[in-house]
Amino acid sequence: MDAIVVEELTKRFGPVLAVDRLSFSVGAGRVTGFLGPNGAGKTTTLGVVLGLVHPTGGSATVNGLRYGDLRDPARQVGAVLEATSFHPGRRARDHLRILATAARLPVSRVDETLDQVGLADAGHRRVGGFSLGMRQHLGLAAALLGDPEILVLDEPTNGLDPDGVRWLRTLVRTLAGEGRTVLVSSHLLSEVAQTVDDVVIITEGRLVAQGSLAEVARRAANQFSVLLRTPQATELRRVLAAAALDVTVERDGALVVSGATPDAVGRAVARAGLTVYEMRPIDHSLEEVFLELTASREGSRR
Amino acid sequence: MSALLRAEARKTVTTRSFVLIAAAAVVYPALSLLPAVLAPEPPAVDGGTILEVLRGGADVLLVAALMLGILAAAGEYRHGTIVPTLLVDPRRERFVAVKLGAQAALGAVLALAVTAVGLVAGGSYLAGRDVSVDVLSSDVVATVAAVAVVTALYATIGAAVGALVKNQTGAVAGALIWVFTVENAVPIVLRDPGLKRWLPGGAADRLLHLADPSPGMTNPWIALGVLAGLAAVLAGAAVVAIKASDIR
Repeated sequence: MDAIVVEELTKRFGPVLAVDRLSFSVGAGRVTGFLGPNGAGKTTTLGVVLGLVHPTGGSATVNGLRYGDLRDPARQVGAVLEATSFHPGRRARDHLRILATAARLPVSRVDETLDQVGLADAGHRRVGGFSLGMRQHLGLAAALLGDPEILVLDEPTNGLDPDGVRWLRTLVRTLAGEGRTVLVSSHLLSEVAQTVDDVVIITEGRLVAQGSLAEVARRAANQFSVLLRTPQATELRRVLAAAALDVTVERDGALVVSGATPDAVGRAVARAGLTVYEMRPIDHSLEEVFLELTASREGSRR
Repeated sequence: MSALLRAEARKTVTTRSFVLIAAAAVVYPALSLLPAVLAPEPPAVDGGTILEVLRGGADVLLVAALMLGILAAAGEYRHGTIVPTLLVDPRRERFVAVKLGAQAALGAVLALAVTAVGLVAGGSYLAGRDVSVDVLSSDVVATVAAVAVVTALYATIGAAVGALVKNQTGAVAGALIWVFTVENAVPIVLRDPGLKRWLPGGAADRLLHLADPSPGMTNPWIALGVLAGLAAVLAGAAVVAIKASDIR
């Protein structure tokens, strides 16, 4: 069962194509990282999911319905879109009480969620005096008011210090442990890699990868490069090219064989009987795979 | 709907701008009597003076209600609070309806507070001048009711303008320029003094003179129609605009 389904979603702002036939799904009870560089279309996509942005084409549904058709949406979906959705002159507790009243939630939820996000002692303070991190916490409190099954968090680590990031990871894992679905966006895979089960990676409004984090990690493991130093560079390049291996020459004369394991390169070198001073694998990190996947595709966006 | 209205009312009264503007409107009727009290030669007064006190209080009250309506609606965009508001209830036409309804109700309550202060302060002043005031007379009741209705409509118009314009500073500036300059200038520039009755200020003035109309004043129902019609047109435009827009 998918909690969130995005199908062929397209959003155009005038001449700018922000989201381009994007399709993905978020499994119920899973923590899904929604990843992409800044400007990839993440916030626009989440805006459509939450009924704030009208799609140019395609659709986005939550629990099978458009957000606008959900009954008591605050009890089904909690969202933190940005840390600036507060009136600075209003007290934090008042902000939550307003939302609780509108959503017909018990007022007791206000203090419960303030406590849950560590703002129990700051509820009486005006939001204008809050740090960005405290505002993120307050946004989370608002999202949790209705005790929703689904949480949508847009760049929730923005403004958080390292302790805050650790706290957020723990909170997200705790919420996931309770069986909730969490869709969390970020422009950094490393920020969510410890938290998510699945990833949806987009760039320039298009899907470039979707799957479990383990699958993406396997892709990273398969993307070895091998660095070689040899006094017979010309011969070695010819041998490797003959073996259909992609070779580039570094500034210092070292050869880098891309997309090959050390085993394959070693066998080719041995068969040719060439001298090699150094041969070592260059391990691509998960982050490098992410960056490679999200690298700009020139001319792909009109 | 009632939960949304209560939430909207709380949203308004938990901001300092509401407290300050409402406080200024409430104390104004009492302060407006100071020149008469301190004057070496007190102005002539009679039983109708209390109606002038009530109307004098309404001068500031109507501008205050207009401003509070604008701040309540345009402030949602300025501070981004429209996002959590629409996440709780995504029906945008209802967002506008609740916003306007709550501002109308708060405007009416504020008007009753202002007129109460006007009656107490004005009544005390007039008692000191040996003029008795019957606060339950039909003239006083009609004027208080008119102040409440006109204030509610001004607050509604303000909220509709704020929801339509979205830019808080622009909406406030535009409304002030309209009230203090354009509305007075239009009949003069067009050389048609009768035009005033079709403008909000003229319609409001007619309703505030419900108990003691000046000669030549138009039918009060027409004046009510002008204000209510303007509020309805602006509200409709606000609904169309917000339904078509992306909230970002």
